[in-house]
Amino acid sequence: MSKLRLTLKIIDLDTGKIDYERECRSWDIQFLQMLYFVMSNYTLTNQIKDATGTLRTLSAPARNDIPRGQFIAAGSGVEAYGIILGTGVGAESALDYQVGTIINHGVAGGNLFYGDTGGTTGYEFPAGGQFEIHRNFSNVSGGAITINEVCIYGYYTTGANNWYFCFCRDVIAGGEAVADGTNKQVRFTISVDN
Amino acid sequence: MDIAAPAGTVTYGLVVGTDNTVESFMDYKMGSLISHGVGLGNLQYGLVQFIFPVNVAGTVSLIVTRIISNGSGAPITVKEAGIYCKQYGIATYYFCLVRDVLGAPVTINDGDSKLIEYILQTVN
Repeated sequence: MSKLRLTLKIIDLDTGKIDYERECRSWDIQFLQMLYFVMSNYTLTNQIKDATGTLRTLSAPARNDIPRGQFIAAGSGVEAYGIILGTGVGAESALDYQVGTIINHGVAGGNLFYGDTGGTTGYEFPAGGQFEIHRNFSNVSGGAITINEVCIYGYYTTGANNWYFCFCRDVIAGGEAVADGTNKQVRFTISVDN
Repeated sequence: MDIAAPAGTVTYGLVVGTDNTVESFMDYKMGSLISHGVGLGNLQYGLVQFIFPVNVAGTVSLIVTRIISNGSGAPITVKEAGIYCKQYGIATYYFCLVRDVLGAPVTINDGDSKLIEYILQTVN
């Protein structure tokens, strides 16, 4: 029996050490609703909550359109989607639709510098297959910052409007301190194994 | 990643087969797909249907179903089920997303129908 897993790691880029690793149980309702949208080609009429808490209508794409709404490959400095960090400590819920308290991109006090959200092409290994989604963060704020939560936001565009949806949210037990002048990588691994 | 196949289509959507070779994440197709029809060894596939994911007491489920009917004149034993998707690009391609060997084979007698149901779920 194959099993699909989502694993979260936080890696210290200055030492290479894995500071935090946990198998996630944090998929949010928006992820399944987006999967429903993509798999069924049905229009969602005010049925999916974006990261502002507003219910949005997603129109079924023409069958030869590129599917929309799964994009998480945010560029450097973009905190609207991709891997997002926060300081909130509220327990996870499948109904989460946003990060508790976002850590903004920047160099001011309380900010982290967001790199781009990238990934690896899926690959196989003897006991399974996987792909990774990662983002590097740097602290140049002048003070220490503690990461308490990690999210993945997806991006959807109607052409006229851009909306963002929270697909998963994980709370980091005990928090992950990022000292000034240091760098971390947050890495989600989606894997399947026999 | 379209799996919303209409009735009679077995190139994508939920499908069934007669092979019970153990599953592997390397599977890229059903072991032995049961074709649509009323000929010997065939089953009739209905359209794939979906239930929109909502919160029910902290559990959220995406449910995908398909009814299959046996009008072949003889019993048919189903040993595997799977999900194929249709992907549009330069051309149209079909990919096997899921394949499950049933814990116990299920026999569908002539004139009977069964509902195949996959549930993707997130739980608090």
